[in-house]
Amino acid sequence: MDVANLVVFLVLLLLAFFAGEWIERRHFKSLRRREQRWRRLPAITLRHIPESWQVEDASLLMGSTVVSVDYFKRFLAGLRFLFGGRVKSYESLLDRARREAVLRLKKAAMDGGYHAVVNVRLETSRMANSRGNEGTAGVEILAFGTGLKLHQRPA
Amino acid sequence: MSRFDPGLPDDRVNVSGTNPIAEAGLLVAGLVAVVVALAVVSSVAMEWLVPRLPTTLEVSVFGGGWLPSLGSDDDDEEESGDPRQQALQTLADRLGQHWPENPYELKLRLWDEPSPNAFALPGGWIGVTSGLLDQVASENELAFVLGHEIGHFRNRDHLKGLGRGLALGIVLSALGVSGVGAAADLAGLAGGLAQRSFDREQEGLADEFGLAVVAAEYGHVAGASDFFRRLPDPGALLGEELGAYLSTHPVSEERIEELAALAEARGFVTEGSLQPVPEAMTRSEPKESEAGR
Repeated sequence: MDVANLVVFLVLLLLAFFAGEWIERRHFKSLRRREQRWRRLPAITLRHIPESWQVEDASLLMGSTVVSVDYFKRFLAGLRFLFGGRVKSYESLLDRARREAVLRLKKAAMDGGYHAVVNVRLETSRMANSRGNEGTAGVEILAFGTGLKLHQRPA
Repeated sequence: MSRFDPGLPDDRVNVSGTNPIAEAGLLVAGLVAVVVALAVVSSVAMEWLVPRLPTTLEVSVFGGGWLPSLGSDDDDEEESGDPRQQALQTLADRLGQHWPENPYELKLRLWDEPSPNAFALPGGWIGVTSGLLDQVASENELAFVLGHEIGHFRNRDHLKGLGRGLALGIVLSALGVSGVGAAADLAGLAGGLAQRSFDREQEGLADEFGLAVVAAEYGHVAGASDFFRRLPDPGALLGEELGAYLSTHPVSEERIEELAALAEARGFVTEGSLQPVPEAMTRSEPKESEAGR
């Protein structure tokens, strides 16, 4: 309640905001670069393999990320829990996590020599906080699909 | 070569590109505004409601022995046996006679607590800390503090303050569990400030009553404000226990001046001899409770 607490809080909040913004901007840049580089490897949601593809090998592939919110985003979301409305501060965070998970799935495919990933799905699970119900420790975003090795690269 | 060469979709579809600082500022301002409005509404509501509550109802609800003796393990002994509490009761009864239409039966409780303070509580209870007894230098000083608390009963401030505090407390504890932490603190601070003007008015009226009681009892008001002269500078104590006491009461120096002006306006005699603090009250730490542990 006192002034010292408020000052500490404000400093923490601003620190979290500027650090978070900087990291986020850098991450988005990296995401765009890697998405551009690997755009030729199809990671698609189709369940059925096109007839023209001659599959030589298939395997389950996964890419996952775990994210948590920073002090500022949590604070902003807390206000939203009071007033309602879109929790905008979480949007960019989850967007980054989903894209990173898909990119890791693609990386797994690249490293294993797969030519395409089909039946790609995204799963989200909440990770419990060790302190009990006070907030969320984080969420895991899992991207998984069936990696295919083809006789010929998809045309 | 492959013909699979998709372009990249727009990557800002799932992200609202609004300014988060502006959003936070707007929401915090909204929160503060709501709490301040509530603080003011609850204060005004108490000003209206409390005078309409019959005193008999208050006494029948709160007059019983609900108030514990703080800081003592042995309630029974403290209640009946402590000579300091008995001496306080005697003094309060004497002072209460200057308010003949007093509907309350004044009941004193001494609390073992080093910071000097006194409280008027529902049902006619007056809580006095041992720290206050240790610091007063004359009976006149103590009489003014007690008279001030009795003044709260006459204006029924104790109920108003309770209602206001309760209203704000409920809202703040609801905010507390929502996890906005310091924003709730800020809102609470603003709400408390909004209620401050109501507090100040009450304290002024209680001071006036206390001074009148002292004048009636001793024939003069010398020494009444001496206690505040000895209180340390509130600026140095901000955030400490005493700071909480001073934040709801006028700052010492200001208060001393107001009391002097009041004494002049009411024509009270300001010079006179001071009564010493009754001997039963000056006894420091009771030995029995030490030995009992």
